[in-house]
Amino acid sequence: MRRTRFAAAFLALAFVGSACGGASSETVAADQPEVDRPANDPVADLPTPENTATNAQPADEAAESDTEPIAVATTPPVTATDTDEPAVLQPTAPPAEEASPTADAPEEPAPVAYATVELPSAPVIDLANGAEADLADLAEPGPTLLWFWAPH
Amino acid sequence: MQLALNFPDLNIIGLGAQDSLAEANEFVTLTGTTAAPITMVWDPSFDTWRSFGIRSQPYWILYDGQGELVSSSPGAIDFEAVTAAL
Repeated sequence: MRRTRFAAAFLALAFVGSACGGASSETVAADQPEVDRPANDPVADLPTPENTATNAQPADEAAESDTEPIAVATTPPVTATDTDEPAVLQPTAPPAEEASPTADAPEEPAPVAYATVELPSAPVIDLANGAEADLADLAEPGPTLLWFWAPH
Repeated sequence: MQLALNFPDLNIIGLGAQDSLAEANEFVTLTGTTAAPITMVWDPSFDTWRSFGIRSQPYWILYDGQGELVSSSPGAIDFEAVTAAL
């Protein structure tokens, strides 16, 4: 990088030096900002640091562009590995393994099928809400306990 | 009742009769049976008791999950017998 900048600066100085003899005052006026100097002032023909930097910029860009391909060159291998991944994953993930968890899962016990006791049809009063109900409608599936009671 | 809490699948139906409806309501309030998962009903006609042949109380009848008669006994509910049957 240093070497490149040094070469660019050297080329810029050489370019300016060779251009000093042939450059006219109109050319200098076009490149330089307006400064109150005599038309024949030799200092006006000398390049300013800004001009040097401006002239050296292409060289820097060239130097930077030299590094860009390196950065670009590093990305393709990454994409290449990305494209390789599916090929590696496909053989390691056989479809048989996807079905195996359900096959290896412990079987849940089958739900118990309860029967419903047949209770006689008779009108009763539901003490939870005071509504009249049919005893036969109170039967539900499952074990059933009938408890006969009286207040006194 | 602890039995209803221990066996949530057990359907418990309390069939009350005799006396009056007001006394039946007072009974369920005092015993707190309405708060438990127990269906408490009252039969003023005794028809339900007669259909099961009940002549005294308390009395309890237990059916298993298949609807088969397990126990039919007078007196207080035998929790151990019910637990063993379930």
